[in-house]
Amino acid sequence: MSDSFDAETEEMERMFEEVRQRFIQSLDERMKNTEAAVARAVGDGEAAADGVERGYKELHTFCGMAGMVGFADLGSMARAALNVLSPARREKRGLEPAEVNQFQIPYQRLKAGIEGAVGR
Amino acid sequence: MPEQETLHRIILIDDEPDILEIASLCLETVGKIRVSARSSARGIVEFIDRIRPDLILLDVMMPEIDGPTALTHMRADPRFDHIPIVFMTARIQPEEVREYIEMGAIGVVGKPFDPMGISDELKRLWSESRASGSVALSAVG
Repeated sequence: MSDSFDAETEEMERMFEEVRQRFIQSLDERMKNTEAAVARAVGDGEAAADGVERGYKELHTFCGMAGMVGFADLGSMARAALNVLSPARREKRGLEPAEVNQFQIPYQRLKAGIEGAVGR
Repeated sequence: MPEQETLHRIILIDDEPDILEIASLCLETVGKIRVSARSSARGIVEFIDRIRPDLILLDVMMPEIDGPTALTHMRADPRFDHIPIVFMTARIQPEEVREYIEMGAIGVVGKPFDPMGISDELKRLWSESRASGSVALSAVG
């Protein structure tokens, strides 16, 4: 049993490391997508509501992935930014100026967190 | 028909390939559960008909067909309306979890999930669901 258990454990560790590296490589694109979505999310209309939805989706996925590949703190920071988008998403509307400012606080924290964690 | 004592086979649906990979590996390796994974809920009813899972683990937030919509499709088909569904999501505030349960899910797995613990969590939810009679035993498998 131990040989098979060891092999399974090694396989899991190897796979986790691969996913972790892929996540790190994807960070620039994830942040770029989030910023593009939130830039479109300001104001009224369907395009703004769609921007909120896309930004929310990016951060939602980020939350789920980050914690599983050893970046629980980054996941919590992303969740804080996600929470700011939640009311607008629920109401299917764009962000108000105050919400954009509010979003920037956890989002800039997240960017600094990424810089600290993986040096980018 | 003898009563099935453990969770054997599940369908896992998530649009994030890395989540699919991690969850499948953990469920199969740690939990010894057979996993049929796919990245979209499109054609979910036909897929269930082919696989005949004991349980479905379903991401909430997916493009095209999200988890709640997929659940509605399944529940509309009397052949599959008994199969337990567990949602998987990063949004696990109590009111959100309550909403998912009211939709008909038997439980919610939060993301990030514990890779070593997710199998036990699903087995627990599945057992509780059977004990409470919310699953038609004869229709599974």
